[in-house]
Amino acid sequence: MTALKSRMTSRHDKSADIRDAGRIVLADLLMRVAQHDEQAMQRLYALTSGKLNGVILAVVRQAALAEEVLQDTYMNVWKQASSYDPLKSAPMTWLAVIARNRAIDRLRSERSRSGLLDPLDDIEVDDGSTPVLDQIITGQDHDRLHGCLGSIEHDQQRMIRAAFFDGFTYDQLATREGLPLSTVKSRIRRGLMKLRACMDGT
Amino acid sequence: MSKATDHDDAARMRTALAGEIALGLVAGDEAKAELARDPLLAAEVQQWSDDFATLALEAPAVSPDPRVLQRLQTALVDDLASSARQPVAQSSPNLPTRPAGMMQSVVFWRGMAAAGFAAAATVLIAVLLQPSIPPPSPARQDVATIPSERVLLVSQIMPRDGPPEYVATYDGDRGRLIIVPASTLPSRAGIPFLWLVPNDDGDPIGLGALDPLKPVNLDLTGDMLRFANLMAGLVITLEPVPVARGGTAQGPVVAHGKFSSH
Repeated sequence: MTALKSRMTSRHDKSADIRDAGRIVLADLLMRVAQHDEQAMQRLYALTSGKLNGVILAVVRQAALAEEVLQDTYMNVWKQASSYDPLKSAPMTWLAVIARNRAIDRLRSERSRSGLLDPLDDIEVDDGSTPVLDQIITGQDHDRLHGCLGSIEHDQQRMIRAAFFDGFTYDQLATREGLPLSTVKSRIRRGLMKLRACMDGT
Repeated sequence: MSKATDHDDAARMRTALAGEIALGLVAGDEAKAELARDPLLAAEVQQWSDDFATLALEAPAVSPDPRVLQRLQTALVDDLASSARQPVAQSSPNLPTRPAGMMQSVVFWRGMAAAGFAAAATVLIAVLLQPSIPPPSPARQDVATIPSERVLLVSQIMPRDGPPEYVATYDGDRGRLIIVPASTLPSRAGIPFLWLVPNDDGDPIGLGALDPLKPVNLDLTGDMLRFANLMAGLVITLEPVPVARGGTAQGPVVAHGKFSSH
């Protein structure tokens, strides 16, 4: 039992080390991008564009639209990289926040233009990720959120996911759910409070 | 109702509001007003944004059309031209032709260091790593949280005329060297093998074969540990056959780097 525990601890340490090392690679690239280093930008793109394109596609669900948002995302990264602070966010997290926010902006704009609530689905999934990147982005943070989302009520989880991935406003969520606005608000708020309590371990 | 309960309720309301802002459920103007009103709110919004980003990263990767990169490159050039900024390009040192043998490369590499090019050839950063588990939310503590810090030495290992191929991080506390491929590496016939090159006249020490697709952990012992702590150089050769323990290099040097202090 002791030997098994030791092996497991060692495996955990190594996997944490790999994540740390991967974060250093991306953080280093971001620091160079902040100095407008085009080579660093291309490296960053090579390492992260598949994953960020996947993040954007999960929101806009149209390949052509996603690629426009992807280009827009990297232009934002190019311009904002100097504001990246490795003490505040892991690099992949920082990139994903920009990608998701650009995707939501674009989705809302398209929705406003077309008057349609539901986006078209034409997602084509392939595996554009790299083993290194997978190890950088998976880990405790992801496991913790995933586990805690599973612990809150199903409708709270569904509404939080819909707000996050589909960019719905409270009014739109109420329309889709067929519920009073006040009910939707209170369910999401209760869900968020439970989620945070779970993630903080309180 | 007790003061403690009032405080807890206010903290929970702030948590919920921060989550709503991070989800984009609060209109921009209203969110700005709330952030201006409550100085503790911004940190919670940041925490939620980071947490939700891990949800976004669940999405499977999808390779974009290669034309996206072409369009991006054009846009970057336009941006540089319009902003009239001089790009701070990564130094691609003017290195001599790649030597064929290990000892030649060692001499060459030492010469470069002596000539003062090492700083240009190697980007060294001491990164303050985030802790693996984020600190508790500031709202729970009501005080600023300073993340724990761990300083690692980092060296890029790069070829004569190309971008960095691997990044080596050295954790002196644990004597551990982690080598991560920094990019998609060109296909080569041979086994990439990492060597530690001491600063003195000692022979290069074989550390192990690298994997172009995966990070490799190397726990250093004995002389390796001593030399690493002296911030020796790192060299990668391309070996035709596996290198035996204590063996010498047969293949050409394809990349090199150096740990050094600021």
